Amino acid sequence: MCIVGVEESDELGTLPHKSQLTLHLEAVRNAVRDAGLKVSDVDGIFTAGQHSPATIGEALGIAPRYVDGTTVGGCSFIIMVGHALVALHHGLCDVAVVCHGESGRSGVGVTPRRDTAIPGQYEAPFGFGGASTMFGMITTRHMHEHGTTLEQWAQVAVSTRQWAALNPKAKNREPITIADVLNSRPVCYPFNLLNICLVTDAGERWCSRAPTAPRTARRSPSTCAGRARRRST
Amino acid sequence: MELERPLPQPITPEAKPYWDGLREQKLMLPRCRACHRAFFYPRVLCPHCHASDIEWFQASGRGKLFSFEIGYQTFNKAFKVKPPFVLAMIELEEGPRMMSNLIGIEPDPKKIRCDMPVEVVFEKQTDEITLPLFRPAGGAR
Repeated sequence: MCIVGVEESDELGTLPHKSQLTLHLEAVRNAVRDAGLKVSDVDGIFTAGQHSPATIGEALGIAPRYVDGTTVGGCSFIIMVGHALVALHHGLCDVAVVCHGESGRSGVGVTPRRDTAIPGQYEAPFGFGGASTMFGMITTRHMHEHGTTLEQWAQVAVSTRQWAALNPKAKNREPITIADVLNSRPVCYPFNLLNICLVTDAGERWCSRAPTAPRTARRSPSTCAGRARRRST
Repeated sequence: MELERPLPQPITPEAKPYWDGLREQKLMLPRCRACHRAFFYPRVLCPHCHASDIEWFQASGRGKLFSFEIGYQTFNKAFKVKPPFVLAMIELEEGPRMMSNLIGIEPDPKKIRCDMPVEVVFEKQTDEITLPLFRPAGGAR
C-alpha cells in the first residue's frame, strides 16, 4: 500500500468560523488534490469521532464501497492505516481515505456527548473528564512497573514540537526543552501543560492506494512497510 | 444544598444492586456464577467468560491503589471538589478495578505509591446516591 496524499484543513488553530464538518471536508478535498485525484475517485472511507463514514460519504456526495468507523480513541486513525492496507490489498476499495476533523477548541458544529451509562456512573462523580485524566493513569502505572521517568515522558512532547516546527500551519512552533515541559503548569499528574495535546480546530487526512495503481500524486508515494498493534487490559 | 459532584442521572438497571448497596454502606460487586470471577463495572454479561448468570456479593472494601493521578484543576464543570485531588484506580482484593478518589492523604506524588493498601469509605451525596471513596488502609500514610 502507498500513501499518495496527505493534507490538512485550510487552516489550523482557533477557528470559530468553521464547523467540525467543514474542517473534515477541507482536509479530504486537500488530500485528494495532493494525490492528484478527484473526490469522486474515493471509494473507501475510514474515520472516527462524531462523523461516521456514512455521514462523511453523504457530505461528500459519494457512496463508498468500503467503510470503517473504528473508534478506539486518538490512535484510531493510526490503526485505520492498517485496516486500509488490508482493504486495498484485497481489492475491497481502490482509493482509501483516512480522515478526521475536530472543532475541539471552538466547539462549532459539535454534538454534546451525553454518555451517562459508564462515565456518568463510574468516572464523572470522581472528577474524571477528558483525555488528560485518562492517559495519566496508564503513565503513572508504567512508571511504577517499568521505571520510566517524567523526563522521558517530557521528551515525547519535545520531539512532537520539533515535528510541528516543520509545519507552517501548526499553532505552536517554538522549540521546547524537557525543562520547559516539567516546569510548565501542572495539570493532572504526571502531566503538565506542555505534555498535553493542544486543543485546536483542525482537519487532517491521508489518501492511500495500492502500489500498482497509476501514479497521480504530485509527491513521491510513501510505501507502508508494516504495522503493529498491542492492547492490554 | 449544592452538589459537589456530578451524580449519575439516572443509574442503569443492571447497576441497581451496586447503587442500592452503597446507600446501605456496602460495596456490592457482581460475580459470574459460571466462572466465579467478580467484575466491575456491572454488566449483564460476564466480561471473562460471557455467561449471563450473575450474582451479587458484598466485597471486603479492601484493595490497593493500582494507579493514580493528581488533578490540579477541574476537568468537569459539575465537579466542584477543590483541587488538588487524587484520581484513583483501585484494584479490589476480589480482583476487579474501579475508579474513585483517594482521600485522607496529601495529594503529593512523593507521598502516594502505586500498590499502597487502601480501604473504602462511603460518602453520602443525596438520599439516592452514596459514593465509594478510598483512603490509605489501617492509617497507613
